[in-house]
Amino acid sequence: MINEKNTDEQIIKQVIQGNVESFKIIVKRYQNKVFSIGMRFFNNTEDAEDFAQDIFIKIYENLKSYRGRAPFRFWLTKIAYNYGINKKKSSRTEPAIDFDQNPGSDQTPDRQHERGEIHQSLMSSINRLPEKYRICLDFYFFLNLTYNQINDITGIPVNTIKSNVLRAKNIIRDELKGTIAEDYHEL
Amino acid sequence: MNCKKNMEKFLNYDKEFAIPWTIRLHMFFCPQCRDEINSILYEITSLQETSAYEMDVDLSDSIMQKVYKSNVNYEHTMSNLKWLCSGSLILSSIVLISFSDSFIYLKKHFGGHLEIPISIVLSLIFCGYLVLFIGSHLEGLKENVDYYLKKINLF
Repeated sequence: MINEKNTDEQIIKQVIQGNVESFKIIVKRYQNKVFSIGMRFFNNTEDAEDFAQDIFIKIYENLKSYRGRAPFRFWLTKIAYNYGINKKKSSRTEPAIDFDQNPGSDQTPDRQHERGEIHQSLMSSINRLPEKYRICLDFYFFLNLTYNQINDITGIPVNTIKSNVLRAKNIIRDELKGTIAEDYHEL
Repeated sequence: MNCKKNMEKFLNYDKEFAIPWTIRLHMFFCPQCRDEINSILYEITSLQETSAYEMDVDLSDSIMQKVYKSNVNYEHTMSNLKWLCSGSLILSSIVLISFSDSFIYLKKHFGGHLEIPISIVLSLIFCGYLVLFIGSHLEGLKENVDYYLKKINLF
């Protein structure tokens, strides 16, 4: 019996065997992450939501081509990234990308405040990077991909990914330093 | 290894591999580094449960509606290996049955003509197997036949 604690690979196997309803678990698990990839490409909620829907339909229709050699989230991310790149290339009336624009600025301030401070600091640090590197950090922190997997998907050199991730980790460390120092002071 | 170097090494390592034993050893002896590293690891792990952006709506229902309308249907199927094994079992039974003790015993009682009805029964079983195999692989077989017919027509 499939439940939400099953791994992605177990659920995919069940879907291929005819238990299509289980695919909803995959959708619920990854919809925000795929939406985030869409936000990186299109910078607006509507297009990112359409992107997410297209990706899940594409994933469903190509499930039999998933061989299970790499984690499912790697295969999903690769499809999403390639689809995003192709869609952007084919869109000729797209406005020029504004690197100063804060992606997701159409999200309400309250929504952003709900996230932890560390998440906020990390996001503001990521958003200051050039566009093509932002997605690498999303893949590392939110999709739990390794440097080699990110390099395989994006083509960005491993050392570049490493240096950007290192910068982000130092931000996390600095944010946490205050908390740890307080704990020691109390002791 | 001092704390600064240890922390630099920790921040640089790739999660594809386990935390290096030198870092683990330092963590064992240094409570401050241990707490700091564990906090960072906890924070990074909890980020995996979130995403850069969150949608205000749940798209799962609309996506599933499109999935149900999709032309792609997945059905419960038997793997090709299982088909091969069961087919081999049936064929080997047909070949080996005449050497079994039970068959020799029955032959002694009913005479040498027993082989014919048993062969008919086993052949019917094998025909049933072939019908099931062809029925469940009809689409794939059609595509293969079309492909080879096109190749023959080209010649």
